[in-house]
Amino acid sequence: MSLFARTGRLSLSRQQLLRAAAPAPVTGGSGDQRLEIIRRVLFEQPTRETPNLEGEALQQHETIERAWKLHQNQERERRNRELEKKFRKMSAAMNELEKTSDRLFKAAIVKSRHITFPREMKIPTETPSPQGWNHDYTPPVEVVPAKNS
Amino acid sequence: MIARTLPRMLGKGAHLSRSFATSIQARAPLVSSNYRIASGIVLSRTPQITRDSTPFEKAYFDYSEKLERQSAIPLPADFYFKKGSLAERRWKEDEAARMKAMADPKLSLSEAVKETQVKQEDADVTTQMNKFETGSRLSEADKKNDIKSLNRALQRTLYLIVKKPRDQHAWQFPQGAVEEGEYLHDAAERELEEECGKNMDVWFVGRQPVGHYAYKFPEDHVAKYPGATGAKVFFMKAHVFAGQCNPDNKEVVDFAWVTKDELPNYVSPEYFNAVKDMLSDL
Repeated sequence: MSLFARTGRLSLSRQQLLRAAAPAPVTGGSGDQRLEIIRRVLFEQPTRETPNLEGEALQQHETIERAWKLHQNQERERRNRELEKKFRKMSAAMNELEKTSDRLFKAAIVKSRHITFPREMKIPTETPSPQGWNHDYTPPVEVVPAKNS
Repeated sequence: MIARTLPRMLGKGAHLSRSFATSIQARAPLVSSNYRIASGIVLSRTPQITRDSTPFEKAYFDYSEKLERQSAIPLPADFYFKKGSLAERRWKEDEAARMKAMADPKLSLSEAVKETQVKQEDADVTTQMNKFETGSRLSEADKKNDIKSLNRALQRTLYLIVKKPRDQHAWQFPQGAVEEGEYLHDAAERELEEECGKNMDVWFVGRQPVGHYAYKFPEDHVAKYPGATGAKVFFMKAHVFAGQCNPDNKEVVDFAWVTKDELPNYVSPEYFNAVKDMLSDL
């Protein structure tokens, strides 16, 4: 029952909307211009036309796209090489640590139970903060429990 | 020795491993098969801004932006702007600049709009008052070449190197001997605090070293301090988020924030070869 009432109300408001969106009847030429604009923007979106490339222009476009793909590939490979170097360095250090001291090695492979990630970490932006780097940071004062002596 | 242990016992000794470490009386440096074990800190400041695009990248972005515009649905300007308003006039000026840029392959759309916007801002007083301030991509520290400022080389990763009071191998990453009963990551945190002060917001990435470097001590050094003939340094990675290095002027007399490319100007070639692979190119 309530469902029907609801749908009924909804369809009523939709009717009102449609009536508003419909072209305003010409009543003495003073119809609200805004409604006409809203209707046009909402319902009469011109279709997006895809650029029609042919012949030489198409060839040019494809060459540009291919060059861009190549560039991206090179960039990705450069980054992978860098990461691989870092990884190799890390595993070499771990091997060396295993040979050097068993105690230190075991401590290094234990993961902390409280893995946290700093929220201060941020990704590079287009422009830096106008305040710049905070050089005057001081650590928050630790709360020292009051001594009873 | 006592002076060095005491503040730590009072300080944040919440770590289990730390409290174990402090309970041990003899604080001899850890030696393994004639090598002294040391913990080094690779403290980095990550890039703050995006890198400059190469000319090729710029040209491609411009090309695809223009292509996108050609096929885009035109903006219903009469819906968004009131007739005869300032906003409409400005938009029309921008649009005219964009139309001009579309015909000119050397001028990009965003540059064209930027030019007209600068003109509009100069002409109008209210926009000057409400102007949104952004920092400059080239900082003051870059212009003055201030290697101690963390505002320099914003596009690159900076690494902290410190200078020890000696003639050879003076510059290096902060490092210090691991003591008996101490772990690498504890030693790294302690050494960084001892050498560079507390006023840095630092996060250590993990407990595993990111690289290592072994070297022999000079012979006169071995004669003076027998027990170890060389040292093995294990580097721990850390990030800095705020604050500045504050050297203690005893162990460390100077410091600098340098990029990977600038590092060979300070350290010896052997040291650079040993550490270069664990540093970021950018």
